[in-house]
Amino acid sequence: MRQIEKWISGLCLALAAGAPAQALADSSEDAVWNERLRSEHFGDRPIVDGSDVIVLEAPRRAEDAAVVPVSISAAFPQTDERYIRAITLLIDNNPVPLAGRFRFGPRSGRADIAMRVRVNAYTPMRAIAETNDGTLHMSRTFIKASGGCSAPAGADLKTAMQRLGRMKLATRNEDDSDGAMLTQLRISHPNVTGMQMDQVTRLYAPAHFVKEVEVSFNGTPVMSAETDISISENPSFRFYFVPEEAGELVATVTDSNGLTFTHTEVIAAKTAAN
Amino acid sequence: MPTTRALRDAIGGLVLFSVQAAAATAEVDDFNITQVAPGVYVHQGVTVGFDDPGSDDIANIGFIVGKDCVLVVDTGGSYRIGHQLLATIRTVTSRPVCYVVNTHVHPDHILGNAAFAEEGAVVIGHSRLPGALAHNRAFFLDQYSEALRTGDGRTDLVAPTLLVEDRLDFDLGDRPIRIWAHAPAHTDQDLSLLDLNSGTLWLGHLFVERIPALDGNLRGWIELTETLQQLDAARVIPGNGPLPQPWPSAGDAQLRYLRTLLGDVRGILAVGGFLEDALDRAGADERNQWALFDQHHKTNVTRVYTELEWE
Repeated sequence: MRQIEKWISGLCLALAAGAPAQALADSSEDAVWNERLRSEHFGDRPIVDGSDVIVLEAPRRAEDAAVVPVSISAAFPQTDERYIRAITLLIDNNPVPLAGRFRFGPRSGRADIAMRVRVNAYTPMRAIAETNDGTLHMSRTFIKASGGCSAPAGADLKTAMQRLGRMKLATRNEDDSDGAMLTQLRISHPNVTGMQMDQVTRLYAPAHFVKEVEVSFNGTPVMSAETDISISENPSFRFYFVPEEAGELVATVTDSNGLTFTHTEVIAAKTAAN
Repeated sequence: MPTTRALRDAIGGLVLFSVQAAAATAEVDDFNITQVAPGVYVHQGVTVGFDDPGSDDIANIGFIVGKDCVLVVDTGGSYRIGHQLLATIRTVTSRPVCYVVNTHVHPDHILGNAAFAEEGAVVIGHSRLPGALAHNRAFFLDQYSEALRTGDGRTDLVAPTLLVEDRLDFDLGDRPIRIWAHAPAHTDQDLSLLDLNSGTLWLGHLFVERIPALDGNLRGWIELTETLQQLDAARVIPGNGPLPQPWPSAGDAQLRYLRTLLGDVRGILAVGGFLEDALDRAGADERNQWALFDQHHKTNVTRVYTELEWE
């Protein structure tokens, strides 16, 4: 409950206050994972140290707890022989720890994924990759955030609802990317958590968030994601894909109210890295 | 919000202060209080981080004495600081504290409110301040329980009861005061106050030394600073840092920083840059211009990026 209140009521200043640290500063840091999350999400499957498979990066201290940039990078390119099938991102001490589950194919080029998340309290954050041989590899970090702030629900909700579901897809060639193209998908969506009270009506704005994201190129899946309320307002995802020919990159988003939005970007024939 | 327009209209029509402004004298006591103009007393806070010792004394706070009443502007970051301010008032005048003005919700400006409850002071705030307080209530009570503890051991937040939506004019007794409530800028509950007799403009949202902390709307803050700079004032009291300051020049540094963020982040967005790119590069040249740069700069960049990415 304490956590939830923090989330609701975070002060709009990035306070690096030390107080919440004491509860989590010892070996019990991983209690939620050990006691609950691990078995909930992976049963009794073995999970090995993932440093040779993925690296999870997040700031040690969140500058703005409502918008914390997180990136997960794969240690090797996607090939038919060896690739990462899925990555699960968990934020242990958030009200809903599962931030997202991301699926990739050989077509992804690289199983990198970056996004922005809400962080409610001092918390471990972990990414678990499943490779195509079915094994699980974990990368973990710890993040300090307190007093996370998003504008109270309702303040800008009207404006946000007017552009609900608008999307932007931008691609960028990178020199070292083996032909994979870095792609950023931005979705205009308030991603309401259901825990933010409207101070005028004293009612909680009902949860309304992006649940599924699917990106395909000429009909072949590139990246898909199941996401939850830990993803920040106006979700933004960054990933790779390999455009071997010209075609259409299509993003389809479904939210928790069952609304579906689609956006298409025409990609020219593969260009030399520039 | 019509506030900016109202402010512009006001600028044209204001018959300002007499020329006694030059009489600004310094009278410093234990609480670091300066009389910046006749009847205008300001305590200068310290420039420390929010988690450093003394962080309940960050804001510049003070009071204005009229013939009938005393008006307090901001109450500090704890009951203790608020109480020291009240004690200082009592060394200057025995007139009642009729009003307490909270310039915005940040804890260094409002947590001392309870010290003035016994005075029966009416607390004045922006019409959005009660919502912001309610939004942060649990957080304040949890995080600042010691700072909030009163002499008799209670802890509570004192919210404003007189709300300003646009403009408020009132009188402390031959001492007219004007308050403007603004559209989102530094926060979404910013007030500015003008003491018409002395031409002292009190801007809790003005940063002159410490890195500005964006908690409202970047474009709104730029517009507000520009608009206020057209106002003819003898001096301003910034929200923190050395005081008093000359006006309008004291607004230049903040304006430069905010415009730099706007330009840099727009440029990064225009070429498809990511938040991380903005965090690396936006406003980097400002680093040596501000105290406590690392406390807020990256938060500012994050807020600017998310504000602008759907503009």
